[in-house]
Amino acid sequence: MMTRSRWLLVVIGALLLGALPALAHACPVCFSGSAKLRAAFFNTTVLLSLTPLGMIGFGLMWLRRSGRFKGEFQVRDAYPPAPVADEDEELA
Amino acid sequence: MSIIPLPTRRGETRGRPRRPLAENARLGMALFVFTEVMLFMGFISAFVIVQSGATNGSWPPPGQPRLPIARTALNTVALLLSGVALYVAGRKFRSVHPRRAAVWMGAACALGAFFVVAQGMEWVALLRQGLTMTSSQLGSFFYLIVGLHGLHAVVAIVALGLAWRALLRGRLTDGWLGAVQLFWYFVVLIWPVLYWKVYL
Repeated sequence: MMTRSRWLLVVIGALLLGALPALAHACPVCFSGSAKLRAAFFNTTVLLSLTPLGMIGFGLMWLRRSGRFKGEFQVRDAYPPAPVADEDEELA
Repeated sequence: MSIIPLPTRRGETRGRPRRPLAENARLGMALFVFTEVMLFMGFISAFVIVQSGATNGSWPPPGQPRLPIARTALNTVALLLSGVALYVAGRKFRSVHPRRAAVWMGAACALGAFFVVAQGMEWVALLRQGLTMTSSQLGSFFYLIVGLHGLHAVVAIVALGLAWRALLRGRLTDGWLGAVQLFWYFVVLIWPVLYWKVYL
């Protein structure tokens, strides 16, 4: 069983490993260029990450604003409820 | 003693229809547009990275013609107006007199066609001046991004024309018009982004 100090060592080691790529500048495309190029990489990453989330959010907002969630069960509720006995029979 | 049957969750929903949140045509088109937006965002990102990686003074590439900013701005206005016309057409279609939408749909079609024809003339002029797919990275990206948008505009105009014909014959449904509107709005709204990133 691992002691607390060993857990701490593992966590610190993992964090250091996570920081290594930034030190190594391993990616020749991303890090060999100018500050302008690095900013372009960062901005496009943000753009490509946020665009799908924004579109999903917009779709949900449109559904909510158009009141479609409210009327979702109107047709269903216009019908009388099915008899409960059926369910009891199924369960039995 | 009488027993009042309490409705259960299963009993409430079984065999009873639920109103869909969106029509199939609209939902399908929304999913398609979602993928198309990501496709264009990918191309724009690649273009921005290539542009940013160019050394000082090498963008736009020397010896290559400059893109016509003013003339394309006019085309952009026409395309935006076609979006407005289609929006008004949608409002008219969902009002008491749906046939009044025909004029506005026709206007949207005409403005869209103007945009495509004007863009085509612009590409012909640029080709004559030496900007081709293989002449430079600018040419490759220009024809890839703007050409892809032009292709979408042509398909959208055909879809709009078919919807217009269905309206005149009294066969246009709300779902069909909604799907066409969604596609046209995508073509209209993505263009200013392309214009800003590629031309300016």
